[in-house]
Amino acid sequence: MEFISISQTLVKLLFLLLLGVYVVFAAIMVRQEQLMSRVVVIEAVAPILRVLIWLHLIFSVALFFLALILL
Amino acid sequence: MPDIYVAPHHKEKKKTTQTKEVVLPNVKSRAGPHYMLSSFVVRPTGVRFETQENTEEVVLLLRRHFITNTPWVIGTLLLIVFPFFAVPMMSIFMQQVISFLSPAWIGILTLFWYLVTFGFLLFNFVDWYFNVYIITDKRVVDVDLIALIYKEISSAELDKIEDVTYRQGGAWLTIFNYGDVLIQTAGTHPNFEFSAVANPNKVVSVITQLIEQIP
Repeated sequence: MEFISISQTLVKLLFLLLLGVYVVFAAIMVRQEQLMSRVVVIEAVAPILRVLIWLHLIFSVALFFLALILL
Repeated sequence: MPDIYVAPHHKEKKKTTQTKEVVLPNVKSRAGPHYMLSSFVVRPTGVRFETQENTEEVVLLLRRHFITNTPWVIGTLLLIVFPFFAVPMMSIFMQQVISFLSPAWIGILTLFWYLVTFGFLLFNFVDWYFNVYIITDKRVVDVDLIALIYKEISSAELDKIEDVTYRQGGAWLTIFNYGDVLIQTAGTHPNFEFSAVANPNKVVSVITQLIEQIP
């Protein structure tokens, strides 16, 4: 019984770690888009792409906290 | 006293500051917002780059041909539909695993799966979108973004270009008309390779014509 409890906690921690790494990846994507949009400015597409990349980061952070609360 | 010699008055040549109008060889201009996702845009409007001069005009904006995105587009579609097949299969063959997972776990894992799918799509799109080749009336610019964390921007003036060739081989490349454009430059300037660009023959033609128009 205790073994199952420990293993469940371990799996949860590992999953949260994975989500944390994913949040870092999403943040890198936001930063890189900011830097690249200074190098090449394409007015028609840039705002849409920026919104999508920010949404990706927001969803990643939200999922991390959701997992932290629910699991 | 009469002048022995009178120097003739030379009319000073007015220096023309106007740049010559660049005439593109048989290439239709297709500017507009919806063409900003194209891999071959002639005289794009609303496109600038970091080191662009005020008088410099972007003549061509190039990317890898969109057909080169086929692997990751198919990959994304497979990632989207995978849970629809995998979950019923798992419930049949891996009933113990499914019973071990609480509804919260199943919900979080599903959300994570689609978040990763969205991330995979964005990552590949950004990689394609920001890897651009720009040809202006003064130079060629190569912007490379590799795996999001490494970028390289190189440029060479048109008068430093010595040779422009293109390479196109294979059925797939011939059907969709794309290939590599190789630009050799003089001296220590780096050589350029525009990989898998659409209409490579037109790209070579435009660069050649731009070089010929250098005053």
